[in-house]
Amino acid sequence: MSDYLRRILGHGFLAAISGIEITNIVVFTKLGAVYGVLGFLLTVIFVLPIAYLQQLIIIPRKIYGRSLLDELQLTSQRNYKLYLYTIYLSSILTLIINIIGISIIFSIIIGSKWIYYALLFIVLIWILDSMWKSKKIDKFFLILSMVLMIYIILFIFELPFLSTIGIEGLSEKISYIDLLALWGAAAAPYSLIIQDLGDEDYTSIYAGALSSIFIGISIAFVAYASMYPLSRFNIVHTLQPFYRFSGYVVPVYALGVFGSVVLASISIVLTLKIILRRLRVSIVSDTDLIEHLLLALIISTIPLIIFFKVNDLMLYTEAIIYGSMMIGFIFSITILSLFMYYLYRSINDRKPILVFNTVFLGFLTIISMVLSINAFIEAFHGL
Amino acid sequence: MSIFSIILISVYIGLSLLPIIYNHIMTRGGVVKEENVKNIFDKPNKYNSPPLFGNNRSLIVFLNNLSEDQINYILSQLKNFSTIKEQLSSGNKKLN
Repeated sequence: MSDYLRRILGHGFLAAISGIEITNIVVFTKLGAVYGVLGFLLTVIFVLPIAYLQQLIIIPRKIYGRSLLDELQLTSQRNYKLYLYTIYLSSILTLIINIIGISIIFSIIIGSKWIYYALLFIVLIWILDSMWKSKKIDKFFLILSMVLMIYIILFIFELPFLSTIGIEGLSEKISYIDLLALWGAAAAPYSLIIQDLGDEDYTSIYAGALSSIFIGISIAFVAYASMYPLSRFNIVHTLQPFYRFSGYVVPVYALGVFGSVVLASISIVLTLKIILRRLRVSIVSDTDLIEHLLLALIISTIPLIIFFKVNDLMLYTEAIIYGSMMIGFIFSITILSLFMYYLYRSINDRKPILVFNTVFLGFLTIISMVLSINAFIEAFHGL
Repeated sequence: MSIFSIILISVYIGLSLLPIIYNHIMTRGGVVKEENVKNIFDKPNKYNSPPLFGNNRSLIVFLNNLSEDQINYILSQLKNFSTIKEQLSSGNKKLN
């Protein structure tokens, strides 16, 4: 592998690509179908801050020579725990959504009950995770991320058909729930930990951001071009656009979804392992640790259980969008803790780069908080 | 989609590109010298100490702080435990 290619396919690329999973696919599909061109542009707007956050994780390593997690641990224990807990929560939630989502998609494509696919998938993740002790982790990652590029290929191959449809924005008012869901889908908090394991190069971050923008736009465009009526938006309907194209598209779509979900799940398991190891060191007592983790697990699964009960196993897509919204909300707290760290650092030594990032991160925190509050108001208003 | 919304979105995209470009330019020179940075960890405090063994709840610190009487008491208890175990395994129903 040449040096340049190695720089492009670094940890930033890995983090960005592993951030694409079932929430992204569902949310991008809905955005493309409901908001049209505005939906594509929104994916661009929401992916760029994530690339910025990935940069922010590298900056402490560049300035102080320590990883962000070590820096957080040294500056404030509470902030450090807040950071780890929020990432833990959102990772668990993402994992559950992914397992349920992919098993439902496969049960629609192939048949049979979704619970069997869920069990199969859990076993598969377990096996892959135990295989990870070998040194071929990176190659495995890269092969799976190549599978994800299928979306772009699909987009290019079907372009002649798509060009017959006029590109116009649909005059639909943007709902805050969708925006926060997009924020949660684009964020994928566990990718912050994956990024933290990596080197100090920005090139891979840009490559990752660019490819995730491409993937997002292609998914949204395919959904938009299918012109499916969205009065009752179901996960079956996320497949509908793909059925309209030629025969090979559905298996390719399934393979792409499968690759992305496997990649995401394995990186989530890796993240959870790192977080558990870190928390075990800082909490000391094992019973404390178990209590904390059980509490986190319960808190994170409650919203999903409620929505599955309320919607009576019909509106899976809505459940996934609500789950993604919850991830977005938790992620805004993660950003808050990152902001606290930068604030603390910039007060102690006033480097321009630290001060600038503190101010900008502050803006980002305020925007995400306002977004979360509005989305929650909207969600409860709907109930 | 109106022209106004396109302008607004391009402004958003520009704004979110701004810090990325800034960070790229500012940290291009590589690692900043460590000596110029004020070290906030000079004074030892509870966050500064090594977390695994420095904590007062860890086993090593606990054993280190025990007095000789306490250690003797614990040792005698351990010996007692082994004799009880032996008696039970040899079939005695009443313990001495």
